Amino acid sequence: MDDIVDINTLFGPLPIASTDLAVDALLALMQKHKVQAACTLSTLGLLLDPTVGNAATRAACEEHPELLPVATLNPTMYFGDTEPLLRLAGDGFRLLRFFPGRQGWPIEFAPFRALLRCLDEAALPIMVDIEATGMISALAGLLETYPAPVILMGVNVETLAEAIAVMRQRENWHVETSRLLAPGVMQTVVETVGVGRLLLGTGAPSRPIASALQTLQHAGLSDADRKQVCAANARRILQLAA
Amino acid sequence: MPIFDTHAYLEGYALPGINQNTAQIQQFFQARQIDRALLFSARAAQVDPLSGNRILKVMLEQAQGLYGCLVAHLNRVDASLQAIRDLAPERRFLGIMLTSTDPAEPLHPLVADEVLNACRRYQKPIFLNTPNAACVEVALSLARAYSMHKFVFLRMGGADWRTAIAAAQQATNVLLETSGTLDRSKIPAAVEAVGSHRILFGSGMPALDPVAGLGLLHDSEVSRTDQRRILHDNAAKLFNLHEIEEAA
Repeated sequence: MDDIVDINTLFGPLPIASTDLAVDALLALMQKHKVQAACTLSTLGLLLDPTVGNAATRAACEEHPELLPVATLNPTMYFGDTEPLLRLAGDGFRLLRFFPGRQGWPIEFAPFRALLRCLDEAALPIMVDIEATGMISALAGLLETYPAPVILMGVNVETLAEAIAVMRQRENWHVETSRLLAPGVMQTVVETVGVGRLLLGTGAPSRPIASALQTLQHAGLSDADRKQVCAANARRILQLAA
Repeated sequence: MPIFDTHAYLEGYALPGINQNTAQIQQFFQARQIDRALLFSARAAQVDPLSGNRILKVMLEQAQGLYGCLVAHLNRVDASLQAIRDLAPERRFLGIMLTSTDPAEPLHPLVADEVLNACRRYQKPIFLNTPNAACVEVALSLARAYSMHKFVFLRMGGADWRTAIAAAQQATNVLLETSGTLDRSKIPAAVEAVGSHRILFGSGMPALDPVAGLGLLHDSEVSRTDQRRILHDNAAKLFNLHEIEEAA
């Protein structure tokens, strides 16, 4: 049985979903697919208030050790207070996520730049939601010296060429699978930038875990490569025990 | 369980070796244990309806398990009408899709009328792109006006799938095709609202690997009976597949 770590899950209320994304629904789906660990965050942090959301994330993850806490920050709510940022790693957060499209701020945005400067010290891996062409190129300039791994979430066929062009120049940049579900796309990532740069992400429980797993199964990768994508890469980046 | 993918494209994909010809497509579907598929010509939808549909016809002649859906482009009405006259009588063409320059924009009903009138005599299902609520609304008005046809709403409204389900509740000649947003809530909601007999499995390949679409069904709370209808039986009935395959 393959070890599976899902880098991209959410829980909580989400207006585009018809029902709340309950933690129990996420756990049930993880159990169904034998997912050992999942990085997750509360949608409250994405849609309302990062402080409230991060607290909800921590609470859920303390109750369920198979869930790994992911923090989120919103640059439109950042006024220069560095103390909470420095606390993130100590609070157990494994990863930091940004949602520029859904929160309505551009990549080239002074508060985002200021936030990133303060995050240098914590050096947490970050994941950025990609919703349009041009975003990855803009990020490349902004995150040139960021000292930790960067993960692109939401890359699809339209943004794949841009992602690959940037990933060729940035060795600690990665891409997750939740929107890489068109035929041949995962294989293209592996062939162009290496298997170490692809991470399993699903968007569960709003989106199916089976879609990403089955696409990966048919991606034409070797068993060893598939195992790396399913878990080993995430474990390396997040510094999780195997 | 047999599977019929009712929404896949010939040509028009950025990556090579996937869907440039029917041999590639057949191999692709066989590797995924998908028995049959309905192909649309991306060339007809994006460039030239006449040559695109004709190329599809020729390619289908060499392919087992693959069928065609004629594409009529509303910005190229004359060429589209010619393609309908020439190819709609063909047994391997199971339906007719209407599209326009931007599939995310609703069809213009007046132009659609001209093409739909030409489709009447063939009595084949009409396929319309419905990637959002605006397209669903126009598609619903066309389905009501041409109630002698079955209408298939491709992508079932995208993120606006609730609107597509509501439309299907209002017009019994509408069927919903499952590609579009991979939202685990949408298929159970559609089954509850309109019944599994009005839902067709489609992937939109190559936009989505069909196994990803199958994964959506796998992770949705849908019974095996409903899955069987969605994956195969509804398409077989809609296209009268038994008769077509017996005649072949």
